[in-house]
Order: sequence, then structure tokens, then C-alpha cells
Amino acid sequence: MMDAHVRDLLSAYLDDELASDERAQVDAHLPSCADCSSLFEGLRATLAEMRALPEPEPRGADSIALRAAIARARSRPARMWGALGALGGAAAVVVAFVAFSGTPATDSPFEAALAPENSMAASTLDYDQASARALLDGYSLQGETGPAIHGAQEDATLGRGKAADEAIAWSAVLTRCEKTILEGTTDRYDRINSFAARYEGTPALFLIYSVGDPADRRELWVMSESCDVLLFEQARA
Amino acid sequence: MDVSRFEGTSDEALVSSYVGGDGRAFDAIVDRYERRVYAVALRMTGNPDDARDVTQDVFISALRSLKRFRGDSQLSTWLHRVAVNASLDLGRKRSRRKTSPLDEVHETADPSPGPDEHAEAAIRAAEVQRALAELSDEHRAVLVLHDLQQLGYPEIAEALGVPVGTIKSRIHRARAEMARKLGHLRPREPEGSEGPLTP
Repeated sequence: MMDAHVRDLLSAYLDDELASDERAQVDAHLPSCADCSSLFEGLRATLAEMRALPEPEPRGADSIALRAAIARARSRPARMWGALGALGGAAAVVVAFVAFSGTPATDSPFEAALAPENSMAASTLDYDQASARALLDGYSLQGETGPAIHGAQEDATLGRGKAADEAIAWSAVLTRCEKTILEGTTDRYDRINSFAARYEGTPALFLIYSVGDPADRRELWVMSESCDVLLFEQARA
Repeated sequence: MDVSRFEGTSDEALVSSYVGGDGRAFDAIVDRYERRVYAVALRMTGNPDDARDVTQDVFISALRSLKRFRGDSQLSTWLHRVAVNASLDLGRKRSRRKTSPLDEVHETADPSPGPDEHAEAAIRAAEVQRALAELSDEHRAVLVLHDLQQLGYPEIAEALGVPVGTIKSRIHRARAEMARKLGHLRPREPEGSEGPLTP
């Protein structure tokens, strides 16, 4: 006759995770119970098969790719005016917001972009990992489709005064941070979109790429103004 | 990149060094944990390409998060948690590729028994991996962490954010289900009869 209580303890007994009194209880019960003993044997054999699985070993290329991805995520920003040629001839340079209608007193192009006066700021959203991931998933590999960015337009005021300076400063940040992504990779990166928004409260640069030739994945890079990687997500086709 | 000076350094000290600005300490963390993270990812996702992507996600996430690491839990526990979650997230985003017996996971069994035994062991290992892939996410996670990663029940409980009692029953049910799939237990008896298990 099977003891229901002991039956439920058998895996923990096998794993040596029982307190001594419970262990003693099972020790005492097993020899006289055929059902429990056969259940125990079934569990034991299963554990043995799991333990017999060979230890997975990363493929050599995977280890290299891992370290390369880490290096890209970490590299300090290089010179400010990186060669635009690094982007690849067909890069879709979509500057998702640019028009600075107001000019708050701040030197940071990120803060300027996110200031409430700038109704053209790309996004007033404050992302977290889950919503950023959802953002990435909204982009198809075919390119420009994706969630609409509030007020994203080419800046009609480029070339005029302070707004133009800030647009240039923004473009410089984007270029600098993008360079850290592109350095050390031979993959083809086509930027699908870029915009400023908050990430967990921090003003950040959001960059979305179609990667590969042919394109086989999308990547989202969320970077601080100093080009630290705040978040990296990738989605395969 | 020479991280030999970190051999024998505790995880806690490595994290401190990294947070204190020593980038090489992070390299040492990667060297120390890459195989384990990859192992969790491979057994959770069932295929090497996904495991590669998950491994990258885990360490790039660590790059950022370690700066805020409060040390409430061990680095090892934290990495296992992130590896499981990242594997499950990847699986949810797209339907998990079905593992085919001899393709997806390249099992390398011990070659010394001889060619037939080698093939047999590799085939069986693929069957075990396939049975693992058929389990629910929760069941697969606890078996991977316990049986393969050798974590104890309390550490698994901490990694998965559930009570130890839950881990105890979850492992029991998961292992019983694996046992049925692998033929170590009879298929489940209909309700009400005296099988070895109740739901």
C-alpha cells in the first residue's frame, strides 16, 4: 500500500534535499513498499539519464562572437566625427525627430530632444526592457514599418541658428555612439530608425538596425549619451 | 586578454572589481561563466543558434546590470536566473524550433566504448533532449538547473523567485513526466486507479 506522503518526497529524497526526520521516514518505508520502490527506481533512472547528457560546449565561432558583441557594447566612444562611410552606402539614415522648436537651457542634445517644449521630440515614453523588446518586435525585417514615432519629421529648420546647432549636436552623438556599435563587426548594419526617449528614466538614444546580408535579424541598441549600452536586444527573422 | 591574475578570486571580488572600474574583471566573469550560461541556454532552447543568442543577451545584460548589483544574491544564481528567463523569452518570441534527433543538438558522447555504443549514446542523448524540450517551461527549467547545473533546491528557488516547497513539488512532477517519456515509468494511469502518481 503506497504512502501518499512518502511518494511526494521521493524526488527530494533522491536529491538528498530532505530534512533528517523525513529522510528517516522514507528510509523506513521504502524496503516494504513495492510501489514506492518502483517509482523511486524510475525517478533514479531518469536522473541518471539527465546526468549522462554530455556537457554542452559553445562552438568556437560562438565564443568569438560573444566576446565581439561584448567588446562592441563596451567600447568607449572614439573620435567624435567618425567617417560616415562606416555606415555602409545604403544605410537608411532616418533621423526620427529633429525640429527643435523651443530651446531649453541645457547643453545636452538628449535633454533638448526630450524637453516638453519640443513637441517634435521623438518620444515622451519611458521604456523598460519589456516595452523596448516589444518595440523591437514591432519592426519587420522589410525595413521601415514599425510603431509611429510621435512627430517624427525631417527638420525643416536645419541650417537656422541654435536649432540647427542642436540638430548637429544630436547627429554627432548618434554618429559617435553608432561607431562603437559598428566597430569590430563585419556584419552589414542598416539603421532602420533612431530616436531619443527615456529608458528607465534615463535619456537615451534608441537605435534599431536590420543586420546581415541578406538581413536575418534586427537589433535594438539603447545607449546613454556617453555611448554606454543600456540595453541590447536582438530578434531573428 | 590575460585574466589569469583573477584565478581563485571569488565572484564577489570580481564583481566589486568590475564595478570599481576594472574591465578585465568582467572578462574574467565571462571566461568563468560562459560555458554554464551556454549550457542552460542550450538545454532550455534546444538549439545552438538560439543558445548563442541567449548567451550574448545574458552577458550584455550583465554589463549593464552588474553596476547596480546589490549582491543580495550570488552572481552565479543571478546569471542562472537571467539565462533561464532569456531562454524562455526567446522561446516565447518565436515558436521553438523542433529538435530533430541527430541534428540540432550535436551530442558528443564518450567515444571510448566503441563506434556502436557511441552512436547509441548520442541517439539516446538526443532523445533525452527532445523529451526535455517537450516539458513545460517551468518543468524544464527546474530539471536543467538541478540535474544539469547541480544547483540545490534553495538556490533554484532563489533563481526562479519561488518558494523552496514549490521547487520540491515542481521537480517531482517534472522528473516523473520525464520518466514517463523515457520509459522509466508507466504512462499515467487514468484518474482514480492506483497508479504510482497522482496529478
